Amino acid sequence: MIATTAPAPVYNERVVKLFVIATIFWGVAAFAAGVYIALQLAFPMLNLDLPWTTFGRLRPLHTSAAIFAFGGNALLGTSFYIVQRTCRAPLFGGRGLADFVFWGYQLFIVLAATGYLLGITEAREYAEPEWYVDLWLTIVWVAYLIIFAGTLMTRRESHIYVANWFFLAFIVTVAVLHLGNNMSVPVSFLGTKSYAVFSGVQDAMLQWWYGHNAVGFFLTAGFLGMMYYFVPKQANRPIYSYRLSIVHFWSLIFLYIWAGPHHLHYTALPDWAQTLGMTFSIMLWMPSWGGMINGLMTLSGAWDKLRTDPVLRFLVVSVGFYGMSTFEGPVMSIRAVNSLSHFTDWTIGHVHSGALGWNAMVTFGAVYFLVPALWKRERMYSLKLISWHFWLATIGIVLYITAMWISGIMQGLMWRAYDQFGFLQYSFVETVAAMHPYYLIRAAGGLLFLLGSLILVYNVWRTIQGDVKQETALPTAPAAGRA
Amino acid sequence: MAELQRWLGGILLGLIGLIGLYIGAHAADGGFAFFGLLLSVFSILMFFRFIAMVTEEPHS
Amino acid sequence: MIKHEIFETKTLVLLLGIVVTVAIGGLVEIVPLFTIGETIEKVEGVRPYSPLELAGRNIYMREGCYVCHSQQVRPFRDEVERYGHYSLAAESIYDHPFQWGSKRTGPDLARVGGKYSNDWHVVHMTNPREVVPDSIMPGYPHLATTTLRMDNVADHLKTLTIVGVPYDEAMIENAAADLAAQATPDADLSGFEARYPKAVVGDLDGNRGQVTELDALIAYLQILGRMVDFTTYRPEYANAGGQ
Repeated sequence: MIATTAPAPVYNERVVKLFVIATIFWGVAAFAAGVYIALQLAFPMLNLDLPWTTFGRLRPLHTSAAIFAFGGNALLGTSFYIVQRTCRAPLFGGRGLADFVFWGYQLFIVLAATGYLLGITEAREYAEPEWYVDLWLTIVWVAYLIIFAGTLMTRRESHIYVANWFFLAFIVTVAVLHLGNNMSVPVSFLGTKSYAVFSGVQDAMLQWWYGHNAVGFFLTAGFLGMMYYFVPKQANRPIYSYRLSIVHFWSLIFLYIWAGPHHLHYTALPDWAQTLGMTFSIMLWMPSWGGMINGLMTLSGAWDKLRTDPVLRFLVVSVGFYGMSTFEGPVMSIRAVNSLSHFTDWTIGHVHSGALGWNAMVTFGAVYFLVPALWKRERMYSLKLISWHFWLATIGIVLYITAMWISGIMQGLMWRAYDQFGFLQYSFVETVAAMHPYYLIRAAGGLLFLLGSLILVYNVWRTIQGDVKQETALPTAPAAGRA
Repeated sequence: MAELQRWLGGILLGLIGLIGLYIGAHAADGGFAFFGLLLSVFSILMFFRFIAMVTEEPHS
Repeated sequence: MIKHEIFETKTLVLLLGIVVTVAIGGLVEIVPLFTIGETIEKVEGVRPYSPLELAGRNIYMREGCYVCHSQQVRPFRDEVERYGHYSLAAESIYDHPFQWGSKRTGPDLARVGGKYSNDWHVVHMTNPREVVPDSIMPGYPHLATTTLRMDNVADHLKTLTIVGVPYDEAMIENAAADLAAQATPDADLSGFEARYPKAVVGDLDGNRGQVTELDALIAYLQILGRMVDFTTYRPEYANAGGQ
């Protein structure tokens, strides 16, 4: 950051505070929903025999809450914080437009969530909301783009900081994906039901062009924007390599788009498309690890901070999980591997190593950075509690993903097992029964993760109150970066 | 510019509220009527915020 | 050689650069699917869903069945043995949206049609554990007791014609009548059976008094995978379509 002699701009921190609170609220809701549906798979009576509480209706509640409510509020909030500070300019459009984006986005979440419970859904993964909710989101998203791009254009820094390239790519691409994948014709403009414009194979390709890039741009590019700001700030060191940023940014956003077909291996999608998807998914490993390397090597010369700074620990471990997931992903995109993993719990394990290990942990790091900064406190109420959160989250994630690796691979192998007479060895329901212990372990992992988040809630609440816990055995106050 | 923004914002909020009410009254199914209700409630609440914003003193 | 500086100093250039970069992959993978023969080649037997089957499909989607059940048999020996012929692109050509699914918490349903009796489905949907003790599927007792509401069924068919499903005049005109007739025993079904071959008819859910959501769902489940007659497959035609 270049120091200027001009007076510091008045940043809109109020809307960022709102987003931080919303992130925490929806995060707990998403984790709780996840634990509940995980338990439903182990104990089906938890479906309660009611239409609104079946697994089929609650699952999109969990996925939307995790991706769009928790992840979305985190992205919107941190992008607003980061773009202002790295541009040395207040949010374009004033306080009114920023408030509209905040409350409009919450309305989108409420519309989607209540809809799922009532059975209003387009039945497309991660794009379940019906046509009218999609329209509302489009309006809110356009307002978001106006604010973000407008702030970039009215900046008082000569260059656009790397975090903002990623945020801009996230905002723009998500808009394109949303519009492309949600084309549907309502039966009536006064009713909820609509029919998708496309069908069969074409619809499948469109859905996974969208679905994979919801991961690639919502859950990756956007969160890399977060990483590129909070890691160097918290570590008090510059990003490792400017050149690497450029190379991995453009190759990441170029390659990600092609990866969709790896969700459709051995389906009726034509072979050439599957091969393209596989090849590009494997190539994608490079720019992904480019991002990981850039983030981790930023710690070069400062690794000892990990011992004393639990916030940095969250951020750095999240980058580690990012690297792990972006290695596992390309491996699972190989057709031979996919022939075993598709349709199994392994996919779920992979999703959660990314969602919990990367997205949630970098968000927690960002929250622990932002709360003291926004509420003008010296530090978080308790660093020990951050450490507790970190360990609960990490152990929870490890339990989750190992349980799913075992159950997923076991499922895949059992489905294709033949006995010595040449008959299929297992009936389908036998494979279901075999999953039970792993469903329990996974639920336990999720529960630990949820507990960790409740510790965060307590810690944040005490911090906002202005309390500071006297803690022993803290060497020096960790570098709590504030712009 | 700010003046224009305010007028535009107020009009849009009003429109949203009216659309919400219309939908609530004429919806073909319960879910859509609920959507209309939420939209109207949203616009009313935002309207309060809007009024607070346009009437506040320079230093608040 | 473009200097990166221009992307870092001009917002619109950065934005445009992003849009162009992300557009390429999508165009290359999506556009050809609309033109290449093998993806839009029709197969004999595949027909639009009858009104009751469509209602059942909508219930399937509403309840999120695709979250646990796939509808796409892959060309593997074990899969074909367990579920039947691998799924053809043509079989989901009228599925708006597709419901291939991405997870098998429960078995694949692409060819579940005809595998179980209507009565089995009635018991299974109400309480799965009564027929499959180790099942973890939720129960849906409300389907059997909820009357099917689809007052504007003709509008549904018209909307589907807009997106390319070939419902003809007769089908749309008779939509409401067909909806009721398919699940009503002793109804006059001559026109209906001509319009929708192989559709299951009769009192599907064991409740003669009303057409319920369970009737609709069973009608849908019982047609899955049955439209194409694989016994008419002739190997000598196999390589003609550019497979």
